[in-house]
Amino acid sequence: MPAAWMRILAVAAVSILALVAVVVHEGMARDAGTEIAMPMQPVDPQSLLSGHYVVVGLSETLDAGQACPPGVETGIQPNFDASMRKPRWVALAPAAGHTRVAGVADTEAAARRFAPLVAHGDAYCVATVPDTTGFVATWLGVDHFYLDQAEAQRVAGAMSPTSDQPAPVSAIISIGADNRARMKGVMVGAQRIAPGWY
Amino acid sequence: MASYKEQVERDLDRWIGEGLVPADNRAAMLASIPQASRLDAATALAWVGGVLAGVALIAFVAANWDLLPRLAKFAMVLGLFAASAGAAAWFSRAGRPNAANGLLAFAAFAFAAAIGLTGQIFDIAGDERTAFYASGVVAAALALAGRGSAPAIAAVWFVGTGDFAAIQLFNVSSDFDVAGLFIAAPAAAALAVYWRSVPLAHAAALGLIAAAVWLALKLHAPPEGVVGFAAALAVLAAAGRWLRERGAPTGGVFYGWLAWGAVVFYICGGIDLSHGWTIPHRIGWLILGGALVALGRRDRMGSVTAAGVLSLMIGISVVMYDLGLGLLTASAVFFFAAIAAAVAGFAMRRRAA
Repeated sequence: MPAAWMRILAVAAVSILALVAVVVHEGMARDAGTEIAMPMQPVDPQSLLSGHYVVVGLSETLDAGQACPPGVETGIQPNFDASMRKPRWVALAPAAGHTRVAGVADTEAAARRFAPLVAHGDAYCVATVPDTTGFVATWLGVDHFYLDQAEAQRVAGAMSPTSDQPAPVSAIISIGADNRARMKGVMVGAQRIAPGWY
Repeated sequence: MASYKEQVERDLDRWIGEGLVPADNRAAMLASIPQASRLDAATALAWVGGVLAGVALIAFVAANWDLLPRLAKFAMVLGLFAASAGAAAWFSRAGRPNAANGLLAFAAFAFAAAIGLTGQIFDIAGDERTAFYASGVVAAALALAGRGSAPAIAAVWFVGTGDFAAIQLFNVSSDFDVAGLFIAAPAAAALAVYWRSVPLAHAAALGLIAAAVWLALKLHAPPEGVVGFAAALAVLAAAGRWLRERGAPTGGVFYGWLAWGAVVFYICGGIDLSHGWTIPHRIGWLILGGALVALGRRDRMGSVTAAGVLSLMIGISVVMYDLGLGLLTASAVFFFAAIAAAVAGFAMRRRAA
């Protein structure tokens, strides 16, 4: 058996290579995935920005008369709490310059009947009723997007209801061949913020 | 504070004065006790300087973190891990196992930080539990590679944190999860016994108790089930006692911690018992407390005695005040417990005779 110091160095080398492999694999999967843009809504301005990341709260407002997507859990809770999420399949379809939830199912095959692009995740819907605007909140496994401090503050400012220069903010997400969602960046108005490898 | 050598020197002079030890042996006896190493001023200043330099470096990097390119950040994170593991290897090769052990533990934590920071640097969304498990696996690998108890303790901690951090314990899940501690804690216990490592035995014993807590919460164990877990921990405590009696230095650690675990589980099992089982549980509680006091005294295990004393005190209070029992019922509970204690004491006395 090799000496202890050699074993330590071998373990360290394998660990470093494993971490590098994860980074390379995730980067390649993100680049190769299908890119979608989904609107983000600030649920609570106080929790929007913490440190140098933006909380990704995917949420689309439902127009009057627009029904909840099929298969989506419905309720009256104002937030899509983490404890409500189940490991399901979300079908995604293009609609008016962004991507919306076409339906949710327990299996991949069932979800594909709603739309060809499916991802691991779950969605929750509050239907529109008189005096209350409904919404579809989506969870695709991406909760945070890390940015430099200045950019994070700009995104947070644009999303704040009290902002001087409000702009629609969308999450740019890559849906990989493994049906996992990966954050690519955010779109603030017409400006795309998507850090590259470097 | 006087060193051990200074204390012996004083005692030796007294013994020589009393004629218990020949004066000629004084020098030879004192020479056989090594002088405790002391940190000289220059070394102390070097340590302080090193620590301050490290803090300055960390502050400098933190101040410029946003300006660094992503790959530079990644290289720094990996570099910290590589440097600490490399230093551990160097000290291991130099025959300094304690320094190697400490650096291996530092490397394990550096790798855990590397996982978290890599996810942040490259925006890789991941499961918190998986990140802790991965850190635990690397810490365990470093422990086995360098035969270090400190990284093994870190491994138990990472796996335990992963079990409790991300799992939704209080939600009924259709998928039955398995806690990593079911593997990590027994493996750590086996390593602790094999390596004769007392610190690792502490971590392993706590890991075993944590695994029982995890399972009890996950299964929403009924009171009978919680008492069952107490029995299982008591069996493991008995195994620790068996090891201790055979001279294993880690046996007492397992014995003490697991006895505490068993008592706490037994008490918790009685919180929500149906009315019919309350009185037998309380009698059992008092008997258990008395048995632990006797066992602790017999085995010279202070921690077990303490568990028994505390258990008795709480048990008596619960019987008197919380149950709402009549004084007559309370009297009967204490009477049966006293009879059991007397019979056990009599049996032990006869056996000793």
